[in-house]
Amino acid sequence: MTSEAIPETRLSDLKVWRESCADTTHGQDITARFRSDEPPPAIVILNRSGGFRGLLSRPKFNELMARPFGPELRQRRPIGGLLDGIEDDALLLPVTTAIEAAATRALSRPKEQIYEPFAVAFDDGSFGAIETLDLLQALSRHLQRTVATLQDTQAELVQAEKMAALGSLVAGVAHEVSTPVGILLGTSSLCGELVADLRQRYAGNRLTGAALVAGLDKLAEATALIERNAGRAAELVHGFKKVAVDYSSSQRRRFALGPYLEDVLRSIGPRFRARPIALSVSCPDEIECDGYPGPLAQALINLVINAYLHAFDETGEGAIAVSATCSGEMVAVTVADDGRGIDPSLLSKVFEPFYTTRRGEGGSGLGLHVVYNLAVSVLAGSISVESEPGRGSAFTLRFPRIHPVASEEMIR
Amino acid sequence: MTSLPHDQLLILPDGPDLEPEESAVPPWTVLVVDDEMDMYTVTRLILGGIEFQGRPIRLIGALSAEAAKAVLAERKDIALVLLDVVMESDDAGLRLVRHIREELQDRSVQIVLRTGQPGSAPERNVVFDYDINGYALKTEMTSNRLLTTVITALRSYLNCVAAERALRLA
Repeated sequence: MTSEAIPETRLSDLKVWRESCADTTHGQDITARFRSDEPPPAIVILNRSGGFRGLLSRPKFNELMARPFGPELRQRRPIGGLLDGIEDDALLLPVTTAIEAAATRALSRPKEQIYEPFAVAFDDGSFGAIETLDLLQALSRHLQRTVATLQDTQAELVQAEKMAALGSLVAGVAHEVSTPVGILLGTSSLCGELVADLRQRYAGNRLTGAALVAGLDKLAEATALIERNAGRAAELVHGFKKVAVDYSSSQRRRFALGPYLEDVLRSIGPRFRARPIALSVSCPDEIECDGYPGPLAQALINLVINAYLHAFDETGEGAIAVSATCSGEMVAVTVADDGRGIDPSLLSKVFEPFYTTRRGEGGSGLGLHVVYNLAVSVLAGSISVESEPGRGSAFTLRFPRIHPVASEEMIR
Repeated sequence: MTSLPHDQLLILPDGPDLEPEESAVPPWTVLVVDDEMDMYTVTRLILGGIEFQGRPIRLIGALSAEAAKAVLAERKDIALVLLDVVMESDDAGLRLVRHIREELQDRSVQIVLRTGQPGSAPERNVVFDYDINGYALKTEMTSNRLLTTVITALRSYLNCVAAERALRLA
């Protein structure tokens, strides 16, 4: 009944003792049943018409039997008479009751009865008994499963948010690459035609000096275009690959902070060309980190995209400045914008999961929560925000320059 | 391969009629709107020297939708606009389509979108929602494809102009 494979949700999923007897049964018969090899924790007592009269637990029965004056006599009397001496009504619940509701009822009994078994009613009119300990253990397992499910769901959502950020990175790069690739395609196919044309003229003895020079001029120009655009495409792909590999891996390595920040921001640069928002980086040359650049890139990208999405209105100009400093062994990376700022009443909520001002517009409310997670649990640091309405916002990520945990596989 | 006389280079002296002079025939004016200078250059290389119905093609480049607006405000002889979508904003090109059709009330000029990002302007939606005459991805524009796109667009332009003239006369 308590198999791990089937999660218990209702009383019918628990161990139910289906022992019952009529209230005319003699005490000695009940004694015999409580002394069997596998004694039930309680026996349901039925009235004359087969309805529920009460529940007799083993401790309660023993207590009744042990009362002074004529225990021998009581063994030979119908049990119904004895039940009249018990004031409390036994708890009776439908067997379909949910575990949480049943536990609430069982625990709201008087203190001295809390550990008494309780009775359940089946649909067919029969009855049974369940031990309160079994119910509480089932409830505990149930809560553990619920918590685990919630944690899994939240982890999945956070992961999905990270993948969504990666997706927007890919989309930006795809757009940026398609222009040089389109130029390459047009130019290289033109080269084929120019060559075929020159060959044809030559074969037909129609090749003039002017045609040759014009053809060569075009070929030279086309070649320069090919070279320049192939270089651009290669540079874009290279920059993106570096960031994407870090983004999805958890390799620890040493890296120079300034150039790394520039690489990361270059990879999301395409998104910013569409609007007049200036993105700048300033970082002293000498800051060298030893840690996890991937999570740092994720946090940074989320912060910058958050500013991009929320700080400015649709058409307005603006600036996002990323700056880094190092004091002692702590590095601080600040993403500051000169946008509309954050309302003081919302400031404490921005890192909460699922908090968003853009529900229904694609906002998941997880972007800054992911940053918080990365800052605290992965980078072993912290994240803070300062903002004033109308004067922009500044998010500061602080983390140790040398990551304190040596393990290679701490992040999934 | 062909059996060319490789030992003997056959290049003819230039004739007087080989370089086209500025002719009296009006050229086809094609406006290339793209924030990538190289996109204009490759278009010029492919269309340069091409004649259609005895008229050469002349290109005008605009590096933004705003610049294109300025050109369109000045000249009335533009037959075709080759138009990028994502420029100064995500939909600068699409806004320019609206500007041409609604504000300038120009139904004749042919508009062909050349986009690098199908995601931001999906073909189906754009063809249904915007009054355009063609749609192409930058990554599928070979020189031949560009040439056939331009020539068919110029022919449609002629038909549109003729139909409008007939309407005015009627």
